[in-house]
Amino acid sequence: MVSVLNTVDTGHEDMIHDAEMDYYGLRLATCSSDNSVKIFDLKNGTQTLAADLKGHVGPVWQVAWAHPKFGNILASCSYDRKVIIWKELGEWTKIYEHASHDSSVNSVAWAPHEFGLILACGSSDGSISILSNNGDTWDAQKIPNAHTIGCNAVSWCPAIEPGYDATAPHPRSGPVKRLATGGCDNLVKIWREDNERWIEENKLEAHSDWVRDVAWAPAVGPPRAALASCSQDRRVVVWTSTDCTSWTSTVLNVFEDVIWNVSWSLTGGILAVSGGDNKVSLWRENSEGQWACISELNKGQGNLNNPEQRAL
Amino acid sequence: MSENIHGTFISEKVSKIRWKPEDFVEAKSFLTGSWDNPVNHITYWTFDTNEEDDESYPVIISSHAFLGDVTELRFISKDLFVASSSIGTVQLLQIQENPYAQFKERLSWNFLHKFPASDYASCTAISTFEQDIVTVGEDGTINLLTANQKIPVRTIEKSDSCSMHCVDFLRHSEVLTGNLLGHMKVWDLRNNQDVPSTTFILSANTKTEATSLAHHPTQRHIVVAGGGDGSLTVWDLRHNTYPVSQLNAHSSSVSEIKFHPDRPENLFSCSSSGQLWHWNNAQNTKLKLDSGDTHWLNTISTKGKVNVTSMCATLHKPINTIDVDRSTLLFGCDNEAMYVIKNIAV
Amino acid sequence: MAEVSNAQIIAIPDDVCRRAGLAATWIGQNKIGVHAYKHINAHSKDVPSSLAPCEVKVHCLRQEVILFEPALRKLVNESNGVFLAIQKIKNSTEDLRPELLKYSKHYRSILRACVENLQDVVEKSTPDKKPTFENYLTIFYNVECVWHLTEILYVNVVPGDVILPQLLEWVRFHFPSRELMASKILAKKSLAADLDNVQYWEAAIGCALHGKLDTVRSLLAMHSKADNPAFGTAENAIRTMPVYNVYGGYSVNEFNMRWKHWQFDLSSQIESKTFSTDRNLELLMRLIVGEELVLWEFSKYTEAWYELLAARLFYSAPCSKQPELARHANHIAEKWRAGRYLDHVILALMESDLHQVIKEIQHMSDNGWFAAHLINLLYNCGRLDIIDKHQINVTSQLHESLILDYASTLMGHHSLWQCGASYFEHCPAQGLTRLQALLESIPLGSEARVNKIIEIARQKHMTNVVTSVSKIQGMKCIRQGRLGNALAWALKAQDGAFATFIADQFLKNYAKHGELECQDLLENLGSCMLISDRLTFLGLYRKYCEFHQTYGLGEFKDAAALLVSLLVSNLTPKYFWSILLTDAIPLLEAEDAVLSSKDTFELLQTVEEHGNDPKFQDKIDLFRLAAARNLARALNIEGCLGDH
Repeated sequence: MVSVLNTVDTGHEDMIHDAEMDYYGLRLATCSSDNSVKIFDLKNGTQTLAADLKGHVGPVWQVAWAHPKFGNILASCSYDRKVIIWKELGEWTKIYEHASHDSSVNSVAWAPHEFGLILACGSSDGSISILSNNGDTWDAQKIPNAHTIGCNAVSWCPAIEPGYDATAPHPRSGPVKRLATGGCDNLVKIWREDNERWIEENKLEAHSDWVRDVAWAPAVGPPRAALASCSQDRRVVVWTSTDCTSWTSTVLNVFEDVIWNVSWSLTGGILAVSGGDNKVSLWRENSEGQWACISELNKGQGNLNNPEQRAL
Repeated sequence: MSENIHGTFISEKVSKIRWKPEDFVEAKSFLTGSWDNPVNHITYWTFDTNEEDDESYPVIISSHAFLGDVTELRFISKDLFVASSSIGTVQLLQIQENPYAQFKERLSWNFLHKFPASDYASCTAISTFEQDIVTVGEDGTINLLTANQKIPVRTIEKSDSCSMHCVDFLRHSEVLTGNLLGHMKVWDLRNNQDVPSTTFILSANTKTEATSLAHHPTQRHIVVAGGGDGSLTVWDLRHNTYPVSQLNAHSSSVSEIKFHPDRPENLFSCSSSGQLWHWNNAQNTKLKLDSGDTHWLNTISTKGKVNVTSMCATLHKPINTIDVDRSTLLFGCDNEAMYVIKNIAV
Repeated sequence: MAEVSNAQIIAIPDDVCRRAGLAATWIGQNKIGVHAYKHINAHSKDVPSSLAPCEVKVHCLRQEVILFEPALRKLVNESNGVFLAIQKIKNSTEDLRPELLKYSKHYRSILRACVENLQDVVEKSTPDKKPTFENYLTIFYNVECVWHLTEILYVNVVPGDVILPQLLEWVRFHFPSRELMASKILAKKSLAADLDNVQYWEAAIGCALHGKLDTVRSLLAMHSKADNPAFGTAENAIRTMPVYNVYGGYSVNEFNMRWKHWQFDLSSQIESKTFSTDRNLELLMRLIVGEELVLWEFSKYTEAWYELLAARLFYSAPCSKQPELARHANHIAEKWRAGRYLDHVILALMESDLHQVIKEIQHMSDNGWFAAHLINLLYNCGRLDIIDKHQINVTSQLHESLILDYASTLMGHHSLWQCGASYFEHCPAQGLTRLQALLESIPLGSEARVNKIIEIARQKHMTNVVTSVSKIQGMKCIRQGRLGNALAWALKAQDGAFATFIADQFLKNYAKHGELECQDLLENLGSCMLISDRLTFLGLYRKYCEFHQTYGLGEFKDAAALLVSLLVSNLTPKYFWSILLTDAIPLLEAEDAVLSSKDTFELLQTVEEHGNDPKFQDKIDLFRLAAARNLARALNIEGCLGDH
């Protein structure tokens, strides 16, 4: 059985576009069309508003928490073409503002902490920027024309042991930095850093409409990479690869409505899919390699449709 | 496990276990404290004889909710005990039997340990000397309390830059503390300056914390400290602060050390690696003709003089706490169980 | 899509979601955050949405885990001990079966204790909680029942492979009611037990169905007509019924001959109306002789089809071996129309379809406790061979995935995470990487808790978890203004880079406020300071300050020597040069010359290299002057010394 543990009333004046918990699930960050970012402390079932961050001048699309070993750091991106990095220094303070995009910034994601404090940002101007922290300064790199018409989502590949990675230049050179992006050109692209330059490693074609979200599965266990993407074509596709160069696609399902989000559980076993059909469904791969829906959360409708007991 | 060990699963990880002292007779009830739950408990136990096998088993008399992890329990009289918590609070509680068993709060020092930014700090250890109580915490503060007054007798703030993990009264006017890096400090409580009278190091070559302290029941100057690396270190503080012996004992962090209160030639230690050891030198005591001032603990590193026996098969979870009265030993573990060992050879 | 029909649907009332659509994100290991979501993008107009103003909520959902109930935590912890004990023995080369049987029984005794404890809890619980606990009771009662049968069929080594005795024992254990009835009747020692007890025949037949023939005979002896020859004959027939025993000295064939012979005698007695004085007695004897029709008539005295199965084997096929069980079981279950959930599991067990069994028990609503522990036991027994539909052996994958699921569930609990953590190392493919991900995401809390997390990481040689957790703890200390404790964590984790970062904070604070924090700690660093150059510099500079403060001439000289060595050491951070050079001025101007000509040359050289710091500009002339004067003084003294 699944139950509602608690409900946070965000107090935002308009729709929120993203809600992300920090590393330990103790703090919630939300961002909204009302241009603000809010941080809530969730302790023992109670919520306290810890910060109301005002800095953007347009709807805020996404927020992302950095790994706690860098301190408490949050990144946000907005319609106002800016990316803001916030840090808790007693109070929450803006520590950096990145304003080099020519259009709305739709997605931000922190790199695996092993690489340091690095942020990837995807924008409607079609480019992706990579911000790397060097003590007190931030270096920006740009991948121009990554997706024509625009980039909707960015996701980092987990730091895979180079032993597993056939493309690693030297076995001892440490893990390779990789990014997956999804865009309005209906493509999912994979980028690899090579000698401090970002090159397009793969172009994954399976969707027939704008790709809305991409999510790289956490790396656990055998050397297999997995990536999920969802699109306005109502499809969710899971991509797998054993060498990060050739990818196989499996269409998880064709849904009734547009799918906006895909999210992997911490250990990568279960994929949560949600979208315009008002449903969240959970999917996992069984021991026979098939993807099966194991539970469906249905919001906004009154009753329990199918009360058959089944563990999540 | 051998026959004379009996385990009781209590659905809470046991952080502390303490016999309730009795005058001249065997102790028959005890307390357990738990940790890592949103609300923890101090539970009051006694033994009940099972008619089937004529054995006695622990049964709960009463259980009391406690905020934070129970970090220490110490009796200061037959029915009064001090409990400390990971939210920095210290309470003096009284066990009342009538009309029904309950704990009555005599005094509560709320959030005695705290960080400047209004965060609470764990009170990691307490020690008692008659009515006096000394507490240390992660905030590096030492508090001296007495059982009949609400206001701390003395507070030494920032006595240590690191969090402190153990404390012991060396004598009424002197306490010994140990911190996260194994820095041991002796504090003369008569001295008004907030600086230690002596500082020495648990172990020069490792950066390990001092996890627990115990003094010899009759010769208080003999002190044993357990380390985060599993080592036991013995000092004779009359002479100097250089350890008289140090040995690698357990395979990981020592959780608690206890001398047998009546037979101090017996020492017990337990560890987060799930080991429970009995250090015994009874033979040596009998043969001790010319030992003069040298205590047996001085020689624990030289093999053959002291028997070290493992009291039970290694448990798969940390053993956090032990207490011993006469021939019965209690211990509590992170597998949410407490164990009773009867007829221990002391 | 195959299993969608099985999926559970949960509805959450939120009107905004209904109107907009929604988005979901995982939170840690076991929670999902859900909020209303409507996609707009850069091409939409930047105006308030059609829903604004609205109540915007985020719902946190969590799987309910019944194992977190205090009454069940005992089961979780105690069985963890048995599980770990099994993993210890599995590498020995001896035959593990007898040991594994012992552990299987241990698991069952834990289950029994759990069921009994739940019965207690049910009695004591309030009406609103009662159904919940009754539900748990059913779950674990079923688990116990299936476990017991699995043990009989797959763990126990049955002599001669004849399974009837164990099957009867299993049925007796789980359906004790009619035997209890019989013992109550027997205890009354009445001479006309059939007249005094309405349940007399139910008890007698119930016992006969369970093969408790001694009890049946005792009951018959108490019948009001016990002296009737019919009863005498019945008693004799029952007493002489051959019961197969592997150690009985007969081969199966010899036994069968004796048994058929006895059966023939009894059936001719029945045909000659020997037992017709009492209809019930006659029915009983017809059951005993193995008449199928009578067996089904008596199904009213049973609660499950497998009780009837045991009776059928006892009276019709006593020497059946395990492979034949499936046929008998199928026959009975089908005729019974067995359709309960438990029936499917038991039938699959009897049909030796372990894959099906494991699929079924994953639906037991016990959060995977049963599936994980049972599959592990069977796996270690070597009784598991699961082939998927592509004919690939997936036994070890299935084994691992069930254990991982269970362990991950426990890792989501505030206290049972330690218990959960101990399962991962027994999952060779994914265990340790999963544990690493989960261990890092456990909220930290007090240092005692942090130490326990680190301890596990150390045991499993996860150095990066140790470093990462220590660093997070250190960063927290820095936020709280406790640089000393942060440094302690950096040192404990042997994290040189972090130690450098913290040492910088110390030095920068000194540069700002002129006071060195945490003297007590820095003074006792010893060889620990060597972990980082910056920390070494900090340690030496602290020593210099100490010398400098204790003003005796001896110390002044030492201070000077130390300062010079710091200046030439290459350890000095850029921002600290001006402080170091400023410190040198009073030493150059000291009443007694404490710096030699060589030292002074070194100082002059350093000021050439590093004296361009803006903060030092106002002092640079002063420095040069003092150095020149001291050089003269020193050369003079050194010259004198040289003369002697």
